Amino acid sequence: MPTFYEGKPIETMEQTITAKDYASAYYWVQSSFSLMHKREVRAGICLTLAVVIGSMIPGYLIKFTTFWGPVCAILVLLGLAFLFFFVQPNDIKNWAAELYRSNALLALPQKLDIYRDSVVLQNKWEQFTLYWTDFSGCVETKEAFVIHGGRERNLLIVKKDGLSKEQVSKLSAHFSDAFASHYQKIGR
Amino acid sequence: MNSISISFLITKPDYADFKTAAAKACIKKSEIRILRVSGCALVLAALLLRAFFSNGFYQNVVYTIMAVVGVIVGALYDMLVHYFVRLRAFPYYEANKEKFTAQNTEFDEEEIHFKTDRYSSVIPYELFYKAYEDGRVFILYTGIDEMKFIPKRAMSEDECSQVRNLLQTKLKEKYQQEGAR
Repeated sequence: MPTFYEGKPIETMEQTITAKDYASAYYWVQSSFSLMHKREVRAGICLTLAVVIGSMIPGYLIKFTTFWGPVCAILVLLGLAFLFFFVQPNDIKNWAAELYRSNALLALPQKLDIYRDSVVLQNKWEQFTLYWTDFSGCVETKEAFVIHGGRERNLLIVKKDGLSKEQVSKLSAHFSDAFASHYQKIGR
Repeated sequence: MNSISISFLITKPDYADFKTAAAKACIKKSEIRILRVSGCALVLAALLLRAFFSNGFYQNVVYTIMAVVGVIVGALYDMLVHYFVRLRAFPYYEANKEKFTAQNTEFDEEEIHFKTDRYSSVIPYELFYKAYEDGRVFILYTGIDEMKFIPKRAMSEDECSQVRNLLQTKLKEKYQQEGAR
């Protein structure tokens, strides 16, 4: 498929995305949207509020005879912290796994040709060119480069599995240049 | 069977129609029924409370708000959702015009061909997650969150019914039709 850039691909690779890969990539992308999307931040805010309320109990007891009000608030905040830290990430991953299972095309072995300006993806039934400018951003995790917000496909996952250290650092430098401020390294 | 080929360029109204249809497709019938019943219950409760327990101005305001919410939930929910979906679709289209390129879709006996300047695929019917048809568009889902659509304005009545028959035959229970002309 033609691209405006006439040079050779930076990297050519073949891979198959599993439900686990997809769920993990989806989760990291969700976490990368803002600070408030990170589980540590949400849980941290709840725990901090719980500590602040706890520290106010002595003052509270001067005006009121019981401390059940602040204790209830602390329990609710601890519950929310647990929810944000342990439950919600699993829910997001389960939803991502459902998205993956619903789309038979995602599970097909695919060939990626990564160019300076674009990527050409081919599988048994599809072939498409996606320019980096078509995407919203790139997240580099321990397992993969996840390029998100694409036109034909929301997530483009480039697995690190099978790539040498040099290849990974070359791709890392390339995506960092291509996406500039929309490039993030997380989960490391 | 002769293949049915449809070529079109997505316009702003097409995109808004597609988003509206997609919003309709993701609401289950049971959910709509629950909304209707809840809306009716709210209106009924507001009327009963107003008739038997009305003690002052503020209570009447609360009952009136209940009735208005009941009407919105029970009768105007679809309309409001569609209105807001369209409202969001127009600026999105304007901001991303370059993404909406000309495309060709060809329906064959065994598969559907999609072609744009950057994308080409031949997808067998069994790989589709579902298909949805309303009065203005056909939506073909390759996954829950991945879809392609064809505006009906780009096809003749005859082509439209051929595509409908084909999707009904090939996708069976995965094909949904609502509000089709």
